[in-house]
Amino acid sequence: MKEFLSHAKYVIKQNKITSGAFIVFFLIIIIGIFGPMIAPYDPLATDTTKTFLPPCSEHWCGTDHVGRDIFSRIVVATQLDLKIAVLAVMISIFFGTIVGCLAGYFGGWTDRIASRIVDTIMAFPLFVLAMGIVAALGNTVENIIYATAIINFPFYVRVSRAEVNVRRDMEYVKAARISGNSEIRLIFAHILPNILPPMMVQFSLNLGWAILNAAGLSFIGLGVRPPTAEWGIMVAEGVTYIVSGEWWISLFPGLVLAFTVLTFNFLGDGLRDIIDPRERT
Amino acid sequence: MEIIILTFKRLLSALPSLFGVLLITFILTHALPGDPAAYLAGPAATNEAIAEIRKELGLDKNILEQFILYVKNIAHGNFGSSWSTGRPVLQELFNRLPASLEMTFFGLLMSILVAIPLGVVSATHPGSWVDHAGRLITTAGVSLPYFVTGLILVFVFYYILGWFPAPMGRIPLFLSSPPYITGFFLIDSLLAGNIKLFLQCLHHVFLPSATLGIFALAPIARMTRASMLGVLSSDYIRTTRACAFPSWKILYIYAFQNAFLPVITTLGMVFSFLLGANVLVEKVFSWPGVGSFALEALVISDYAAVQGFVLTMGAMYVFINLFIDIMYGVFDPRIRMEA
Repeated sequence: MKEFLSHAKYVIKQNKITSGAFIVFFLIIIIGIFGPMIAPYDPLATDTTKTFLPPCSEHWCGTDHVGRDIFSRIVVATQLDLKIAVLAVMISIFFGTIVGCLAGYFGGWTDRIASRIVDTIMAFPLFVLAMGIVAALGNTVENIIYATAIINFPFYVRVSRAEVNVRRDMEYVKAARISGNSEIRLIFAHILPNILPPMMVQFSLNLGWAILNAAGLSFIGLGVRPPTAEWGIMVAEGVTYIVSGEWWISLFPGLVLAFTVLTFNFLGDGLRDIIDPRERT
Repeated sequence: MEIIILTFKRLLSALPSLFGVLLITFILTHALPGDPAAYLAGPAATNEAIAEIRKELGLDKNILEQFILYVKNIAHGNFGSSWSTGRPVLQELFNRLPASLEMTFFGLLMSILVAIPLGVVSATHPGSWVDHAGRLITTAGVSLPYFVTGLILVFVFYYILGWFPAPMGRIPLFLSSPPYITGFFLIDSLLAGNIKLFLQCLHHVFLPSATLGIFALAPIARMTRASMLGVLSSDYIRTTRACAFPSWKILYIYAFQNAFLPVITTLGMVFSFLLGANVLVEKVFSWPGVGSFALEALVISDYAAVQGFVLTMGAMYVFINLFIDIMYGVFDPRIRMEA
């Protein structure tokens, strides 16, 4: 453990991008939790005398077409965007790991059925599949979460299946088997803890993608409904005004979205460096 | 001969994927909240009328029979009618598909033209400024949401600089579209010999395609770099070096030919991403493709149209993968031998 911590410290010190990503990550989490308290204005309060104000000292990111403060809306929206992405990825990591572990451990028919399901999901352009799922289940925030969970599911099945597969005949597993542990106990008490690190890397890399995906869905008008503050919707609200020069309505939420995704991607790369020094790039 | 056997084998192996695509779209259609029969019959319909429509749609049969009926309909090209326009969904998709494909292929082409040289130079000069710049661009490229990239491009190149036309479709309002041959305006206008129209179309397709291209840059450049690095350190390249072949020949003839194979696989994956990204980019640029058709349908809950769209996209992806597998056989003799 001590060795691990010193290694982690070494990686963070060596790689300035990773340490930056860690700091920004904690910042995003804090904004996500305390967003509604930090925001200087009410994110839903409209003011017809202050429409289309460009960024100024009073409104840092300007105001939109009904006079709402964009900075406040961005801050408040952090919570919703993170919630959708984290919940979706949690659901897919939970089911994906169970299915992947069983497939990797038992092989044979279990494996064949699991792989077939995964291949079938992957046979679609994933964003299009998410659209179809939301359209079929109904246009709500929960269904956005389910759709994002379903399209992320194959990645966890693949990672956990491969990781369990190489471990199932290792000495420590054999030892545990001889001691009379049941198969299920072998998988979830002995092998699973050992595959958690690669799963965490996948989790972090996936989170950025899940945020992007959820924002994309609300950008096309699925899930979150206006006037709720959400990054994808805020970008969509500004689309019609960008050709007349009101760039701040779309651009600020868009950049925050991009920045968040970038942070999660760097964080995933950094985590991989800490967990698996061999794959360092 | 081998290539024919290979093609046949790959065709067979694509069948399960195609079946999966059909099954999922079927499940989506039948997981709908509410009763399509009741919806079609209208609020004033009697129970008998609803039962009548249900029978007509085959909804009274068991789920297996319904699935067989569904596959039969699809096989006959019957995707159902759009509930809003009343026109067959297949017809609508067919009319709009060229617009989407034109944008996607042109974007992919732009991306390949930039990404492959970038990847090759990064691999031959690792650690150089090109390598670092490439890494920066590619990381930023995957993190920028494509709809935001599109908006930034519109703002800079239309609003500020005025170099490109407003994001309002495929051709200027005052021009009429070229005579229909392939549906791809770029090709049709050339076939019609109308250079002025061709340039207009190029002008309009440039920004949406660039939006897709920027997103596709990262995976292609990364894969080219990694694959080139692997090939350049292999024994046969050392041998060609020892034989004093000119370096451009080693790089572009001997090394690149082998390094290109994994890049082809990546292109398939990228194409799938772009099909999804299409929907968002079409919205930003008011592009009259299948994506905006699906969006219009989503807004008014026109399920037949949405399901037709999902099915078409899924089927298209299966065929693209099939095509790539066959291409692999053409480029790589080892795979032909296996067949």
